[in-house]
Amino acid sequence: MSFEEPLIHTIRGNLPVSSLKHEFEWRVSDEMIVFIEKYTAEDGVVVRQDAHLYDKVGVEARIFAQEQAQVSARAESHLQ
Amino acid sequence: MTITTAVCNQFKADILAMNVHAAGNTYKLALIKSSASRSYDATQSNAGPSAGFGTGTPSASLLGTDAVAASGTYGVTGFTLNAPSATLQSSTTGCLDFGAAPSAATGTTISADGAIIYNATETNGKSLAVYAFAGSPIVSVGGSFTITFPSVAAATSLIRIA
Repeated sequence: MSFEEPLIHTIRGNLPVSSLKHEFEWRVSDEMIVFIEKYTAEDGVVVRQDAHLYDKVGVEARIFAQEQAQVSARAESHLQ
Repeated sequence: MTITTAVCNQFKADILAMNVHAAGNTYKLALIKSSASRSYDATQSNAGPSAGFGTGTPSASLLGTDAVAASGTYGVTGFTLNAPSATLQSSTTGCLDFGAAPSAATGTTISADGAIIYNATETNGKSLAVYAFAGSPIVSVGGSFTITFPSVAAATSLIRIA
């Protein structure tokens, strides 16, 4: 093994990057972007996989819609 | 079992109680493992006491064995978040954010379907919000697991009341 050969830390210790199959995958949705980077050994075992998530939109509790529904209900009761 | 992104009902009540959460509290984001034993949504009131992560029967008040186990630099109680910051965005939307996302956990072997943000200072870990991971399960093998938060804005902040 050459000291100049780039290594990567895996579940099998440090291995030459060139000995591994390198794949990556993007999963894009309205809510998140997920980036998966995978290194597979010659015997088919995934020896390293990095996962990165980007939450694009967080989460919202809506109150306005309920207020509007209540206002509408009150308006209807006054009309009756 | 499903995970539904939602602001927790308990958090709505806690906000109005005005004495549960404080800016000086410690907030954490715990990962929910793949193939969890139950569904997670707005009804999740607590994540549980710190001793309840990884042990105990999962329920609406305890993450228990549905918590992702410690792996690499990831601890079973989750990522510690930066101090909370509440702002009003676009004059109408109250936003709660936690600054920059936590550093990546490294050397992890994790399979997660979602996450829950909770108050780690409060004894029973009152929950704030539940997040489903799109494209789950999200799997790392001996590598990094990173979550990046959205930008602070009326349409994107981590937790919003509109």
